[in-house]
Amino acid sequence: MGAAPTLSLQTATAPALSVADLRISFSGRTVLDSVSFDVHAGELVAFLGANGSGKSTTLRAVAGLLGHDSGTIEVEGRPTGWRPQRSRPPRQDARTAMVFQRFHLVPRRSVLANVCTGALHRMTTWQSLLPLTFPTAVKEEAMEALARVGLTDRAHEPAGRLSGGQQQRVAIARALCQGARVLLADEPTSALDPSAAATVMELLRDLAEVDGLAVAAVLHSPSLAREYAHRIIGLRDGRIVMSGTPETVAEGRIAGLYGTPTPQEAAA
Amino acid sequence: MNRTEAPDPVAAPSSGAAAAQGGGRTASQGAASAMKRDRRRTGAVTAVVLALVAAHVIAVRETEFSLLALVEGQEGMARFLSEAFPPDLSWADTVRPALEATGITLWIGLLGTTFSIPTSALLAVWGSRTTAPNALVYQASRAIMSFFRAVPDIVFALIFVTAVGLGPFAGVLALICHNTGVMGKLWSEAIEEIDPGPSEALRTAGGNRVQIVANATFPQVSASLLGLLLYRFDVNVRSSLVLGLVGAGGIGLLINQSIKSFQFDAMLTQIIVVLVLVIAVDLFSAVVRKRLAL
Repeated sequence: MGAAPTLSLQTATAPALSVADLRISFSGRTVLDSVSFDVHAGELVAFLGANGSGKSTTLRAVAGLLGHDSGTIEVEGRPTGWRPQRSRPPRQDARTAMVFQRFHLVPRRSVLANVCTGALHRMTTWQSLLPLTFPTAVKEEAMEALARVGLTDRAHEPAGRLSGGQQQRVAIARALCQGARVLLADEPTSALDPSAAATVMELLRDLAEVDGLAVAAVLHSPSLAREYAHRIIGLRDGRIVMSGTPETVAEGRIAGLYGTPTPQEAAA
Repeated sequence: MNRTEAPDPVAAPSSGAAAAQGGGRTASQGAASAMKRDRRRTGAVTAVVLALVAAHVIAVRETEFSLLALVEGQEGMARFLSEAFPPDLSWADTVRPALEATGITLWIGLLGTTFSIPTSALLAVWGSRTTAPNALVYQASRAIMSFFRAVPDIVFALIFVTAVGLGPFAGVLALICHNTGVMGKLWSEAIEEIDPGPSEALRTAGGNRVQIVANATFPQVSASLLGLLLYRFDVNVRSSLVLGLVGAGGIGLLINQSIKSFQFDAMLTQIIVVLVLVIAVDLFSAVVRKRLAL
């Protein structure tokens, strides 16, 4: 739906997220090697690959949850991420937000309180001690974020009482309340049933196209990537082996990411 | 064949062509080593059983454990019971002092529990792998908690009775010390058990350490922390009874006096009052904990 015009727009503007030559190793074993890619505002990029291909590692490094050995990660032109050999983990960069496979909400707290915690970086430590002491401005922004994901009416229920798909939308609202420019999603739909997965994917795509976020999502299913992503990046053994729009990426090359080399791949 | 060799990449190239013939041999070797392992295990089990039996024989001798003595002592027991019944129910002499002293026992247990909340909370947060600021603080907190846990509350009571004199205050101090060790440990275990996901999510959202503990760790554990607090209150009220026996005030002190002056009927009244208190506290904590679990 509108993928083609956004793509032509993107080439003109600077990327919201730019990763160059990223290298990560765990105790001598290289898990990511010379990974470079850009994600523009308005774009949903899907990462595909088998278990251990490094797709989640890439997102975690961008989110600052993992340090990287070399390479650069830039958000809107300014560096982010950290180098373990140079410094301790810094306070996280609020310009990147992340949603997770298992939502990672606090089940006992209200939906609204969970969404407000996205804005922790804008609150003082004292303000953030209890949901009661959260600033009104933050609560208002949280309500707006909830309206964006269509869950205003559930704001005061405990988050644990919502369905999986709704909880993932609350997690997305938390990311919106954070005010991030880059939204990272680590298998956001693999714990959901197909219809909830479709709702979440539509929302992610909408956040890119309408709200102008740069969305990078690791997906477990190639068909979801084909249906919703503007661009697909395929990883294998820690390297990017494939990149293109769903229209230009051949079926066989995606299958090749999961370990079975296909005739087309052998020919190429 | 291939699959069984897969985890041993070093052996694979050297065997090479011989692998096909060697297959049967390695299988029989495997069976032999399995039998050897079985035999060794049987030997170990036998040794442990023998050691346990020996320990119990020694323990029975050393503690002068004897059913005969119990049977022979039934006469004394009967006299004791006949003197205890009926309980002394005179209001001014027995029941009123017993109720007052029981109240003190309850207050000792209450203060001993609530006043140890700050220390327990701090040690629990520092002594949980998930929330400790660094390894040094973690190890130090664990050591402090182990120490307070290892020293029984009655020993603390004896120490504080010497320091601040006979009375309930010594009991409160003793409970604070011991409970800090136990509750800190229980709380830190509860904290370590929680799902680390929400903390990670708030870390990516840019929260600092205090914010993450307040908004991800604490709301996840608050119910179980409160449950453990009530459980400790329950235990501490019962402990404070025993503390009374060593002079730390409360109903324990009265029971001790009754026994020493052979007023067994008064003692029975005091025990009944204690029983009511313990059951009431137990029910209270059970009801509240059930509510929390929902």
